[in-house]
Amino acid sequence: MGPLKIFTSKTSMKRSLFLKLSALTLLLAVAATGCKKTPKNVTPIYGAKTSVDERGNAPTLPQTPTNPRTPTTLDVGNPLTPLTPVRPIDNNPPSIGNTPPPNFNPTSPEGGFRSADLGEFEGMLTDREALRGSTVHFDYDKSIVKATEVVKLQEAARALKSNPNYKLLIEGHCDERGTEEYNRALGERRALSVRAQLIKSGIAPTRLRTLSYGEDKPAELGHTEAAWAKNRRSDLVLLKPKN
Amino acid sequence: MNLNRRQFTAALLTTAAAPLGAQAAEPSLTVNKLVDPSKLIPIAISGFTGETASTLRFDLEVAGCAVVSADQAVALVHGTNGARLEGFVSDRAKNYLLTKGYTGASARQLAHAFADDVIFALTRTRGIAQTRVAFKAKAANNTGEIFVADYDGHNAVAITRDGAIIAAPSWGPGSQWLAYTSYKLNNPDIFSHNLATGERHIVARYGGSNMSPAVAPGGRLVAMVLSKDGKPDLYVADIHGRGLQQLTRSREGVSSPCWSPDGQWLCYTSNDDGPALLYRIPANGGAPQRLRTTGVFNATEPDWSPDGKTISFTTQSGGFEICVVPAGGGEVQRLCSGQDPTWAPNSRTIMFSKRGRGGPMSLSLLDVPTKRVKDVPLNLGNCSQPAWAR
Repeated sequence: MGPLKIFTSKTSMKRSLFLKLSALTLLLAVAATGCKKTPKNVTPIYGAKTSVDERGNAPTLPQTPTNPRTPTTLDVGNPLTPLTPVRPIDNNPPSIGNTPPPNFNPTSPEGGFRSADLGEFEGMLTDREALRGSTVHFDYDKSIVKATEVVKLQEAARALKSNPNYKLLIEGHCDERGTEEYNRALGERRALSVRAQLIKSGIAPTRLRTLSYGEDKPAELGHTEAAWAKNRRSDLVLLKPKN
Repeated sequence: MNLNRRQFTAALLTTAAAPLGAQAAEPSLTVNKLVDPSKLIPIAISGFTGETASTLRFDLEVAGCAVVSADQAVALVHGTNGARLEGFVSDRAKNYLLTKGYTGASARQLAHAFADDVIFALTRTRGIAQTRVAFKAKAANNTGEIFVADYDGHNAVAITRDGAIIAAPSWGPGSQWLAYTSYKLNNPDIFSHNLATGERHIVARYGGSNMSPAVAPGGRLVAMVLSKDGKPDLYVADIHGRGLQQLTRSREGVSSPCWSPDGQWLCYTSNDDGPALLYRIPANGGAPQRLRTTGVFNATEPDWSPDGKTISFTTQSGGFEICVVPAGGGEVQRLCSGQDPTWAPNSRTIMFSKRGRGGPMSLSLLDVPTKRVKDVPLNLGNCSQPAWAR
């Protein structure tokens, strides 16, 4: 037992000495590095990995926006950083009853309203007949809802306003002149345009669902301008709660 | 390695060949004569019968050979087929470039294997006769399934049984992962599908449309177009759909992304400057750059060649045309009518779809340097959106 005690006390002494020494080195290290000023003439790159905090959040923009970020100053190769958008994107859908933003462009969904979750529309009954007459048609390779077509949306807006439980599925379609995946995106842009129109007339974005069929579901088969004009469309499908 | 490499036992059978000295000196001269890839290689085929003969002829023609009579040919491809395929390639002076026997697989597979060896002997480039493609086949009621087949359309196997609208198969280079858009759950959603294990994941099922997946080289990541944030924009997630990151914040929307072979870049179509044009963006974020396409007014559905040098795409002026442009942008070369090109692993052959009379789409093959088009001999009705395994 004796030698063991001596041994332990020796080690504890060694340990405390070691601790003191290490504390001293730590202090010195902090004093040496922690007080260092940011070197002059160095532009902080706020997209760099090192400036991302431990929760993985993107760093805030520098307070002095004297040097606006241009594409040439981009640090290629760093992890995805939020670019300063060309146009501010409002991703927060306004709550029901709110009026849309005042700078809202009626003909294209400039505001970029975020889609509602698919779960919001789960289990609803689809009524394709109610708004069959309200199908919106588009010009070739365009997603803008023409002034002559805007009036067709009044009936849909009325139906949604008088039945607060109703929702709407907006389907975008294209003619066959366009490659398949380009058309799928174009169909979605058309559906989103219609959605933006309805949001403008006071319908909550959370009640409006969009999807694109591209050229996969033509209203009319055929390869004539007449058939194509009918296929460049957006169908409106009323969604009703089950009970 | 790839699934597209057919596994079979090709018993090599080196027959008593010409003296070694002659083999080393003479054929190298012949090979040099044949390396200009924009010229068809005149060859003669003799001795083979039935399916072996037709398969071999198709493979060699797709790869840039012209079948001519023996007195005009630079290379003579001859041999016999029965239970075993024995194949020879020589010049007219009987200097042998290749003597080989093949056994242990179907007649088509043996012919494909021999065709690849012939192409390697003549051009020193890897053949594509044993590669596979994925594509979409559409039924009359607009629903469809994803199929995987040999590059000539034979041995097609349906890999989905969703009975729904389906689109945009993408095959991750060097991987067994496919991704596609399926409307099975009453919304365009993106699925990833492992061909080896059959496992399937929902990569993206967000509100709005989930479109145009492109599996990255290696099969770890998927680029795709989602409209959940208000515009069709470009996103990247892993093959299971985790870690979603938004790459573009486009004004008008984007479509049809593809990866550079090193996985560093994505090329896609955007309407931000008016017409549909090509852009590229670093795969881990950054500023989009216009890809100059001098000579065309619109460009969609890009596909980056496996050697990284060229991007093929579709332009539309009246009809659709397949075009190529240097990967850094520049002068466009129009090749033939058709849409939605996909590169073969040899960075030379392209498969694309075109609309026949009466509407249905079918698949064709294009040899880029010679601009020669050959239709895929076996089409399953309305086929489009090919994706070459590479």
